[in-house]
Amino acid sequence: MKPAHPPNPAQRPDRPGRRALMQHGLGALAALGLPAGAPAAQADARPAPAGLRLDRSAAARWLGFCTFGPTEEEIEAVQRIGPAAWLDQQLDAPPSRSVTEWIDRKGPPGREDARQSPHFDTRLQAIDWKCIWAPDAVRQRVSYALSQIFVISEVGADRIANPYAYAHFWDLLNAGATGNFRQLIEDVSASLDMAYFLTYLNNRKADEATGRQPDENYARELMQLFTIGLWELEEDGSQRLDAAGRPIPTYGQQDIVELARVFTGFYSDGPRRDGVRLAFGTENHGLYGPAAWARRLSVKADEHAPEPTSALKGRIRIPAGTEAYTALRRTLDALFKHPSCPPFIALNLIRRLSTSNPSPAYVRRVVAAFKDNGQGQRGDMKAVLRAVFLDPELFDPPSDRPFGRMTEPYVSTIALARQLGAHCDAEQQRFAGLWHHKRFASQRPFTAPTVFNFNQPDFAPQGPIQQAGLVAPELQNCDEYGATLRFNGVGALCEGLPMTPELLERLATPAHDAELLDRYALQLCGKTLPARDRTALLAELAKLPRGRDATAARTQRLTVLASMVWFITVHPENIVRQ
Amino acid sequence: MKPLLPADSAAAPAHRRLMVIYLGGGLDCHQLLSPRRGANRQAYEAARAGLALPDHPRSALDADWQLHPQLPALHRQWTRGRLGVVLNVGPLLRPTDAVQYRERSALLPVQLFSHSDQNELWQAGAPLAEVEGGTGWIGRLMEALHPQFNARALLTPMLSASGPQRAFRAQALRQVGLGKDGAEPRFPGYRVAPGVVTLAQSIMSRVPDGRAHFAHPIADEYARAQRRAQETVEVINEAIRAVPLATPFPVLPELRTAARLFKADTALGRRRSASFFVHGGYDHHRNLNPTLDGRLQELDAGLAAFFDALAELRIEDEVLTLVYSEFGRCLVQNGSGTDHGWGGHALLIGGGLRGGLYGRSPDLGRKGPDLVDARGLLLPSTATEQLHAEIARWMGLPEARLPEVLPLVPRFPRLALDWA
Repeated sequence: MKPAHPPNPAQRPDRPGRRALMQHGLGALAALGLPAGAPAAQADARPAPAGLRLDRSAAARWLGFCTFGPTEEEIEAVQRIGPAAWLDQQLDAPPSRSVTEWIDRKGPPGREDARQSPHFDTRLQAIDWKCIWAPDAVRQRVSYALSQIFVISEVGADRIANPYAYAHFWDLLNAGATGNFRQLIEDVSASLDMAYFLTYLNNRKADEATGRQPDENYARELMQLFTIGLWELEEDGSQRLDAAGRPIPTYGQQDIVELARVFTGFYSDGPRRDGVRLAFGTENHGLYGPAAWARRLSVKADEHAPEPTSALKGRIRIPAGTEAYTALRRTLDALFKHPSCPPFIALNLIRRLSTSNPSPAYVRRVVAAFKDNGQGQRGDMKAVLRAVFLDPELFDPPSDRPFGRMTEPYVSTIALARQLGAHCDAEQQRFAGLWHHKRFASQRPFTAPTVFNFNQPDFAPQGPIQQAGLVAPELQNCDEYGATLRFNGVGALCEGLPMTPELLERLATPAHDAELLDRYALQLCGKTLPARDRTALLAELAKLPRGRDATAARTQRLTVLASMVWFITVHPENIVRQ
Repeated sequence: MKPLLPADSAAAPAHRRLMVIYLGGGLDCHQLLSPRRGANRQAYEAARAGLALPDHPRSALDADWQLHPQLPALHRQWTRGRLGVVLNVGPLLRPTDAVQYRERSALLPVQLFSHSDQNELWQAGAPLAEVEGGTGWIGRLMEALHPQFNARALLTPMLSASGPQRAFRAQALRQVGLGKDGAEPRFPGYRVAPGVVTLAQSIMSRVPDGRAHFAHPIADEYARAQRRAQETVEVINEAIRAVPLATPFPVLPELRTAARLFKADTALGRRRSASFFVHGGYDHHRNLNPTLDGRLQELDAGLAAFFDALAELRIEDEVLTLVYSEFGRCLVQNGSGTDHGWGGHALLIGGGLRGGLYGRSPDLGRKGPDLVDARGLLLPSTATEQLHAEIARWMGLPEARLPEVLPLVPRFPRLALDWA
């Protein structure tokens, strides 16, 4: 057994074992099947101990946070070995076929299609495949969360239709999800995709003659959105305050001017043609193959700013004439070691994965794991994810704040595909294409309107949520228009549910409706519908015709099935994973 | 709430509508309005080698300034005396000069130059800490105007085609979100039984406004959004259908929808209303000129159709259009683009405004009173509050109630726009 968690800093050493259990909410875990007499010392060190067992419904609920929605096999596995061991297996799972390789080899392992010629859609298919079928399910779900932090987007005036665009970026998020955060920000910063999106590709040093200055774009967004945020943070995620009680900005305009110099001189060393290397530009990106796209940025030394750089209250000091990658690494080192980085990233990951409104103690525990994985290593994402997913707050939510988050449309979309096979060609492991994603209004990866993602992590809608000082980022996409897109989009998804011979038979009369409904609700959401709504739905379903001849039977029974699954999915208690 | 004016007052115009077009990303103010001569022209060319727009007499506003050449329809509004340019406007806490800025002796809004923060500053219409309940300036304005003008309205006065907007947040009133052609029809496809759809609707309609209903406040809020969507979809789409419009809209159908809904105000019982549309893609750190050309061509074509539509519907003088961005961009270029700035120029069109340049013409000299920092950011000479106050007055808000809508207004002189 690995020490997944460092000792909890909030934990007082003199607390007696039983009180520590209650403190961690493990008292209620007994109801979920925690073996009696779990050693208290172990619970102290590790909020969700290896011995923790979950029943079927609790396993499905918990998996709803760390996957796109669990398969039957995953639910059984978590019941069998417990969440901690299952998560360890997932975090150590060998990487599934990369998006780049998927495009290159024209399909998933064993299902390559030599006739397929790669195009814009292929990358989309490959990412969907990974989210639906790849065995490293947690890595994919976390990558979707990371794609909403390290945002790049194909939306905009100069979108790139090359199939390999953004492919390598998903792959590097995959690597970062179970790697080290420091390496992740370097991979992101050295990637052609990010350099193109945030415009530091071919960014040049200042030039006296023309008055040209370096592009400031990446220097700003790297700090504001990817590493430390706008305000200095305490380790519980709250804003640090100065002596006068005011929040403290992490950086100012002069820091941006200084750090813009670091991101100069980088270009993409493209493929060779007629013996000449082609540097990336919009006119030749069509020639870029997988290797060129995945290659880290190259440096033109004479375009890198030679001036010394000093920023962030002295945290960054780069002498004159420092080489570009050395300057980049020093900058990333400083941001990585910045006290605001752990809480900024912890809070963002928690909000994208488990709950919009974590307690300060939960944030603190994830921060502790970020700072030290128990072996003195900072930024170990496996330790961070164990802290995120195995926190006691997941198993026994505190009563003083609402635990949970609204699922994104892409999560619902992939859930119905991987759990029930909606719109899937199960044989060939292919999912619906671009046009369907539009019907599902799916917020698929890399389609945010700007680097500020689909929504902002501190969004609170007008009304009770804002008045209570809570946030609900995903509700930014759920105004009346967004609500209807969801309402309709889930319907479009349910049209594609596969009808098996077994289902066809069971749906012939309403006799099995209740059993099917409960089974789906349990698998999709970890709980059955509220009793009153369940009864009302069953009454509606009982009114539906089931078809006499074979053709009518198929359509009409699909209506029963689709209605059931649609109702479960759009139900307010379920659209929020809680 | 006390009425603003006697109900039968002839002083209050029957209808006033505000169309807000927010150019997301930070429109380059120096390309929108470029200098044509003198020291400003020299400073512009010196700072923007390879990017400076050549003189384009057909786009000239006067001897000193020209509009971007890709905005011919807007320029026609100028020729017709209907376009007002509010020069160098941006978020401020009090009048601030360059010396105070350099010495850091004036209190400034926090987190300037960040997209999200300057957007919030513009839309909140006051420093965030001073605004109660996270409201926005149009939300507070509409709430103040409500008893007199919209008490019997069948629909909220605030409609956004671009998601929830801070400007529209209020205490009691709510904004409603639209798709590009109106309210999105609610239809989950042919495979979901109508009875089940109705059941789901009724479950979501059970959630009351002020009280918790489901087990989670986000579930409650989601259900409320579904309920409001259901309650408003037909009101909105019927109102739109009742307004025939011949003017073609090759682009920006959102503006077509807004025009028709403005015309429908009479039927909807709204005498004051506002629509919001975000035209994004203006963050031109790279490839400024070709990309900006494309964005402005689309904007201009959309505005041309919008103004034609308003003329066709005979509500030109009752609709004021505000076009703004969260910040302008710095004067100094970075190769092929420009970086984040502070002040920028806002445009006001129609509504009976007398066209012209308002505010103070910026001096683009690097050591002058208007440019600060190494990159040459425009230090705003007009505060957003001054601009917003003029719009609030036009909407019919009495002088005495301005501070409750725009708390900082008393700190600034009046911008004094000229109305027909």
